[in-house]
Amino acid sequence: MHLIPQSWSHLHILVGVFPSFGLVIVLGFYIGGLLTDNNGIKRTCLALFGLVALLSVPTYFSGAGSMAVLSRNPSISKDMMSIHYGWGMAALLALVVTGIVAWVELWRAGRDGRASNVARYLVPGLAVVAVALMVVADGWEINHRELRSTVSIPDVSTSPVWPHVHMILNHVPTVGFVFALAFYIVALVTKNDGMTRGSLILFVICGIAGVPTYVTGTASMWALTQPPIPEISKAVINAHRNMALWSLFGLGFTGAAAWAELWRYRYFAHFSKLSLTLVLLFAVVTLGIMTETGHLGGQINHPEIRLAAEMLPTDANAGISSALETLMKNVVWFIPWQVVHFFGYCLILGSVLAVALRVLGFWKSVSFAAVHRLLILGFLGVLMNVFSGMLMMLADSYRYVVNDYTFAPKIAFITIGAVAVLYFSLSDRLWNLKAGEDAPVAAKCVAAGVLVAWTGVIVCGRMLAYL
Amino acid sequence: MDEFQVFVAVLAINACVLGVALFAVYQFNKVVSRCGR
Repeated sequence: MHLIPQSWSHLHILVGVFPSFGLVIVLGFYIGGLLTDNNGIKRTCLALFGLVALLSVPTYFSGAGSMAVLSRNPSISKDMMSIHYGWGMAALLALVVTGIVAWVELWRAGRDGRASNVARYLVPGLAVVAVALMVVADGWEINHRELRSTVSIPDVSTSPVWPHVHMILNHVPTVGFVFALAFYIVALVTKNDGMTRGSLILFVICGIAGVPTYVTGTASMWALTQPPIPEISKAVINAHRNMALWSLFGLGFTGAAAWAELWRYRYFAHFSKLSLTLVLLFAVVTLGIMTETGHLGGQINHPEIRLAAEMLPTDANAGISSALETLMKNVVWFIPWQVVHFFGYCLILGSVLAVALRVLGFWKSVSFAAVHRLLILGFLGVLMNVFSGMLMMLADSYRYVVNDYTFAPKIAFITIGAVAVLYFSLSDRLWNLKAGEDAPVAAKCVAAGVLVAWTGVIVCGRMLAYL
Repeated sequence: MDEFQVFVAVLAINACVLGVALFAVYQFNKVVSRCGR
């Protein structure tokens, strides 16, 4: 692995994603800081807006350097590069303005001791404009010709939508994790409980996002190899997916430890130092694994970042993924994990049903805190099902991700359902709901959404065998 | 023989996974029971 970029293109690929995804994450955190009136979060976010804006310098120079190199390549569209350059410049300008305004506001708030409307409205507004321009600038298609593929063989080809979705989605857990870790370290150093909670939430969201990222990655593998695309090696993809599996485990461990601490925090209103250290340890190791995963993923379709002396993988069946595939094709291993999967569903739906129905107005004689304890059962069910589901998918991934119409909606429902359940473990208003009291309307809407999402998971999962 | 192997594997793997899960639930509940809510 070479972490230090050896070319402009490599630097542009590495740095270019941080302003866009980073800005979205910092913006989300900043809004959280405004809503909870947490000065530590607001100040950290204003500083980060400026730091993200500083990335516009390497982004611009690496982009200009990449253009100079890629313009000599006849297979790269110059029109597409010009469009990306134009919108990219507008986006970087908006980013720089956002950063300057944020840093001026940080200085002014430090002097006056209070935030102004500039901080409340102008900074987030400018950030939204910068993100919108970055979305329009979309430079991914310049080098990813497979996204424009018009060759489609019925019952063989996988939609080029999957690689596109995977390229966007994989930056949520990766870039998100970098920012979550940054916020987490600042929170631990400044002993800011609100920011600690925020970073733990971000770890959980990154863990949840790991599931659709892994699944869309598997679909992308089939899209790029069946039928084969010239210059794309299945052995390189296989090396990436082997490391992606470890990343999924790392995200799972970090997200699970973070959620368990958020759940425990409800009861004691303070964090356990041991748990926080454990989350930090998992996060650092996971970030290292994800860095290698991202590097191997970049090698799949970016020949310009490969070094002459670098040895690329040559065996498409090497490593843990193929070994698990072979194992899970045997019914002696498949059926037991399928039974674990069904037990997991029972735990998830049972606990979610009880909590959601209490919020909707059933069993008002019990407080929300009483049903809150059941969430741990659903949480363990989710862990069981992510692990068993991943094993079952490996048994016949082509059938699941390409041929089954209900697999994609099932994964979407899991993501929505898991994020929505997070609300139950975070909401202060729900936690303080006493016996006999009615839940707020917003909580009832979330509860209804949670029930729809998890029912959708069950229905789509059962339909896998038939549709 | 295959059916028997599958049966034993189902029992063994599920006993292990559910055993670990239920032990975790017991431990988590024991910890938060000290809070009184």
